[in-house]
Amino acid sequence: MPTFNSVPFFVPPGGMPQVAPQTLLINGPILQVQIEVPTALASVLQRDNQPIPAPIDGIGLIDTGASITSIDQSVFARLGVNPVGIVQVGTAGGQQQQSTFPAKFNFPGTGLPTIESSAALGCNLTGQVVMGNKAIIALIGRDLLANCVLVYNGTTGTFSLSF
Amino acid sequence: MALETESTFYETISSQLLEHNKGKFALVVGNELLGIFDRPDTAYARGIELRGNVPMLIKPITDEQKIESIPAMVLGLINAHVQ
Repeated sequence: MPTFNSVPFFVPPGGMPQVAPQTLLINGPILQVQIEVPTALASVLQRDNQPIPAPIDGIGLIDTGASITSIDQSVFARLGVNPVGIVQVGTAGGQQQQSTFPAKFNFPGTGLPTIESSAALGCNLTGQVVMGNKAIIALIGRDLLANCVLVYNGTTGTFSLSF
Repeated sequence: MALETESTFYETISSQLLEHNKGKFALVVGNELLGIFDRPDTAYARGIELRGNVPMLIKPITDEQKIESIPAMVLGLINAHVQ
């Protein structure tokens, strides 16, 4: 089972890298993600000699409180992926209907395999950044985590993800 | 609202589908039921093949209404929100 171990380091000016446990506390469990068009759509685009949109890179934040994975709506717009469903989402103002979209996740540099979601929620993550200026484009919820083993070690500031 | 036509149409056939296809997934485009599938990804692949890259409703055939929860957005723990 491929495993990604997140061990954040801090490099002081002119110094040696040091483990930085507080990074996990500040940023939460984050990892590099790349969202691309679903395989089925890519196959049809290729068959029809149409260009396949380039994948979108960003940061994914693991959110064990979320029942469903969310992706910034602009990602779907840029990829040209259309909605495939509607779900009810509980909000502060009551229930609200939201569109869902199919999505394919890559995790560059982690060794984790590609996974596809048949229904990721489109949401607005505009302005969500970590580590200064890295944009969060996805909140990875329990629907995807249902396929994973997640170990969160707050004491050492590390986490690992396997699937 | 996206998929309004498909959702309205699905409501007209949902009771029929529940009788014999509970637990499966209905694929609806416009006012047409394109098929019943065991898995949502299979439904999507078929929909794309038949109609191209268009909005489509892939609906779990169930009498339970699931409500998704994303507390980080609802409670403002991060500065994000559903549309």
